[in-house]
Amino acid sequence: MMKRFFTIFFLAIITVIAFYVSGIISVSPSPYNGVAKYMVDYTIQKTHALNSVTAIVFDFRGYDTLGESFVLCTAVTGVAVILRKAVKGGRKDETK
Amino acid sequence: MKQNKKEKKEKKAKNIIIKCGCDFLLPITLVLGMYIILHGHLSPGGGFQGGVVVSAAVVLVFLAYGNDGIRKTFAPDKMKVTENIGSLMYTFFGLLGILMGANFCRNAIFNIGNPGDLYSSGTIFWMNFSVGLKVMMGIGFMLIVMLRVLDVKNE
Repeated sequence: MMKRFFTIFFLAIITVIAFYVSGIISVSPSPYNGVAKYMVDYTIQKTHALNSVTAIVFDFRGYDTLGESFVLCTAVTGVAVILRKAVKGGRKDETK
Repeated sequence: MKQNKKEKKEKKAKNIIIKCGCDFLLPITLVLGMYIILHGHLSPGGGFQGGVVVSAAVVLVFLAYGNDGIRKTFAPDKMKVTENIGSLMYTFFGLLGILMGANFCRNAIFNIGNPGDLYSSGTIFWMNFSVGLKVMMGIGFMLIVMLRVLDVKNE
């Protein structure tokens, strides 16, 4: 009984906080004067690239793209480990 | 036995329309993919998208010639090595900012050429190229290994 009461109590508190925060975010003026405005304004001056999406992905957020490309490396390693039977079978056929 | 003969006949008699279509589409796909990679800083697209378009060549060859065609045309071991070379290239061009006296991933050589040229935006161009190399080799290797599973189970 106490367990159920505490569960409902904390769920109610979390719901109230979520509604409060989302209401504040939707009411307050949008912060367009931050990093987004800087990126849009200074793309050509800082990077000499016409495509601003590529400039953001490979210049302003280059570290993020580094992690993304290593995620792909991990995926390839996982596929090669799980399907190692197929890799080995292919190699046997190649040696023939 | 009868089923095996039927399967062999089906394998031998591949549809000639699919073969001709894949032969026609293969060079167009490769050129379009390389264009998207090299023009990533000028037009929509970039390394990831162009790499995936180039790696569709594996699927085209599989559709036309099956697993035997893939074995004849591609070298998966070298593709694995080339993928790692691509990731090392990206890391090097990230470290170039530190070598030139700024922070990591800073575009230190951006003022080579005018904006709008093909080789214009410094490390963005090279990072695009290395990510494209990495994605096309990685997805191609994944596709080759996944398509080989079909053969292994049949044998």
